[in-house]
Amino acid sequence: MSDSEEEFASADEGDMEAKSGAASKQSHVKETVNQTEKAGVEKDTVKTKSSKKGSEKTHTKHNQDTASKSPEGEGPLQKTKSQSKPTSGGKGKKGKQKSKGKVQKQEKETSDETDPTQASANVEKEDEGASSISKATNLSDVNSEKKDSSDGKIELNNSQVIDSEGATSCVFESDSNTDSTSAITHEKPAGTQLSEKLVSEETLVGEGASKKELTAEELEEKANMIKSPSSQSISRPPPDHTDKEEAVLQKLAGAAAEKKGGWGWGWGSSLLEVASSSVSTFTKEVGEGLHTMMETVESTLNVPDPEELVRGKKEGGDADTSEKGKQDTETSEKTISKENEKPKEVTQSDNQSEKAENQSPEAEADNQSAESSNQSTKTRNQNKSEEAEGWFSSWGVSNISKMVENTSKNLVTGSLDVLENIGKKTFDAINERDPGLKKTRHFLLDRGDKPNLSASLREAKEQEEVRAQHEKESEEARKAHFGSLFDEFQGLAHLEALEMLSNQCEKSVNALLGSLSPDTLGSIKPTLVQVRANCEVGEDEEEDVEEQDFEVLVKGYVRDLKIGATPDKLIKELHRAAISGLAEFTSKSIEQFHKAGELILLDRRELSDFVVASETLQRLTKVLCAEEKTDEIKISHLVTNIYLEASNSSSYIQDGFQLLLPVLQQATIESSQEQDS
Amino acid sequence: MSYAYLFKYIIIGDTGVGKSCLLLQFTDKRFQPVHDLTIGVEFGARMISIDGKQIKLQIWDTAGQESFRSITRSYYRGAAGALLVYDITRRDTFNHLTTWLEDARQHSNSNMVIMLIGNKSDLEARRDVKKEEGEAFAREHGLIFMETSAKTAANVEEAFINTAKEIYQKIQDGVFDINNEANGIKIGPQHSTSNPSMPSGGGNAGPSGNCC
Repeated sequence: MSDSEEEFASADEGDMEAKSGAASKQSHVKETVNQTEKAGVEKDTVKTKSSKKGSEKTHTKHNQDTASKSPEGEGPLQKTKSQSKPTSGGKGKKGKQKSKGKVQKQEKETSDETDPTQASANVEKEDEGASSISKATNLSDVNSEKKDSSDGKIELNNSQVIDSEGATSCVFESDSNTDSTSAITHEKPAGTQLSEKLVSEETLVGEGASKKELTAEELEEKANMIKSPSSQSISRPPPDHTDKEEAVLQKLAGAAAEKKGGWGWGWGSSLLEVASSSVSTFTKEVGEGLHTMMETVESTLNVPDPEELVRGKKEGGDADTSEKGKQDTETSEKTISKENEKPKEVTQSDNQSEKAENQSPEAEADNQSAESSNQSTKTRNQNKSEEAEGWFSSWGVSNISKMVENTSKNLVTGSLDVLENIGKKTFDAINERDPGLKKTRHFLLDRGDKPNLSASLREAKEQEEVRAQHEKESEEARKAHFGSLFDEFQGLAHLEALEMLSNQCEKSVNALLGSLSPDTLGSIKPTLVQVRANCEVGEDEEEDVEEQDFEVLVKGYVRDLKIGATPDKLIKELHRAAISGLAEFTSKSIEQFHKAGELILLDRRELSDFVVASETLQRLTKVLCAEEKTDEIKISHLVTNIYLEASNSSSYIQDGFQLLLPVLQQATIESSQEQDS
Repeated sequence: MSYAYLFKYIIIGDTGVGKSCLLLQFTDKRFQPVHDLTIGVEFGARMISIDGKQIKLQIWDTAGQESFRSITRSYYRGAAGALLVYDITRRDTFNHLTTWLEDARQHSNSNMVIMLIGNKSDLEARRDVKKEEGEAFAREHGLIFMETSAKTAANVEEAFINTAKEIYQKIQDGVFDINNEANGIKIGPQHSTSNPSMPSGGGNAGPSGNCC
């Protein structure tokens, strides 16, 4: 059937809409409305609902089923068509009903319809325009507004859902749409159509009339709800609005103004109502879905119902309520079949109880302790009575906000409880099973371990061997390591001491220079400059020392080595000896400088000419540096290393010499001072 | 040899009290009756083991002559331990302890462990300073006290090692900041291959495995 195709397509669109933003929703809705004004819209809305419900897959399936069926041209649908103009509208309603799984019944007899879920208190009150009621309940879910809408729907159904199709679809859409604004916008296009249809419906409705009469106010309101868009163009007779309705509308409008900043127009209020109802429905649906999910999880985990726990805490114990709540939640998924089976009242009561909680402000007020489903039969009864009269009066902005708050609160607390319970349960389960796991693990590990143990031992042994060898090598290397040898010969200590001495002398030199009179400073200055010059060893000068000889000797030695096939050990020994000698020589050189510095300071009176001393030291430095190079020549192998260390050594020596500068300066100054005095 | 810590010691005291002989006994386990005058400072090093940890003692043996005082003072810095030595056969060396102590306290870090040593305990016949006096002085100034003989090696090891233990304990107690080399403590290279030529730089690399 083309209808079915449209439905599916529309269903997709509906999903898209649900996910997409309000704007997109609007556009989609319009499109869908235009395209499938007849039937598709409703299905779309239904599907969107189902998709939003998410957890409830069954609904979607039902919807699809119904959709598929509806196009086939079911008897009731046709009937409704005959009665009412647009068959599509009937389909849409049916689709809705079907979504809950009661479509068939409704089709057969809306009056007979006893859809437990759908058949809310409203339905009962209205008389079992049941089919319409059920639809309404389904669509709008328990919210009072929804009830209103359901009434309107009932009318529509009775009158002929067809018109309502658009309206219902709109309503559904609005329900599905969490964003009231989006819903409103959606409704607009539909609304115009609806308005026409509604008008016709109203006029047409014969059956609905009786129902309307029964609950005139409600019906009116519902009609308003549905027709609100229509009111724009067609305008429902304002006189229809009862005081209560008006009050409600005003409240809603106020709320809308508050929330949305300025939706105040006349029809807007009705739209707002619809939107709010849709929001509440959605939240409720989500809540239900979560609830059912929670319950399933809990049931699988055998976790105590958090609601029960809460209830137990607060109320001490309504076993009935708890049971009912469970039933409600359970039924929510399976609602249709079970509910159908169950007596109308019971199912209704269950559904109502859930919905009533969400919907009825009173229930909400009471809700704090538990979720909507928990409400006891008392509340149900109350709700019923209230539904008849009290909805509108009680209906208000505060109620909406309360509802939202409560539902959200319930959702959060419920989900938290569930999570907590799940966590506890999991922990317990793990604890219980852990020993077993450990055993298995041990078992497995033991099996693997026996080979592993020896392997690991072998590995450890190998590692140890490698490490020992490495240590040995490193020890040997250390023996030939210039730095360590230099340290061993206390060259490092001497160097450090020399540095300390030099630093101290530098400080005192600065202090002395500051304290000197200009005259003495002038007289000393040339000397100091000379000393400094001497201490700054020209690198060029040292380069020339037997450079060529070095080259020649090294080459000759290497040649000798090749011929001699000297064992590695000998080479090693030679290297070690060379480095050792170098280190010792260097350390001694440093020590020499160190001692020279100390002695210069100590015996400065005897050393009159520090320029000469510095020159002498400079010469000494050169000799020492040259001496290293001859050292290098002695060893052929590892020449590079030795050469490196030799340069290292010479740098040490030169550094040491440099460090003597402040010492010499201090000595110079102090001696000059002494001479002056 | 790798070591966990390196402690820098200084040995101070009047000339001729046996500072260099103590060092020689400790490092080489030998006694040299006739010793050259120390010029400035001489050095000795030895590994000891405390609490299972290898500790290298680097000992700066200073010249005791008065003329070197200004020079040797500059070597006090960065010493973790000091051996303040007097000769039990010469009371003047004991009388100068206060001056030495002031010097040491002034030029070294406040946490430096100071061990008071009455050397030449083998010369009991020529004793001029009673052990009780040394003990009293040590008690008065918060020092550790021991009488030693570099000649017989009596208490020489103990003197050095007890000082090291005291320093080690201070490290354990967190008194010494081992990362501050001004305290005279260096963290040893984890492995001997790690560049001993650059003790200041490479020394900090591998201490983690050694400290508890």
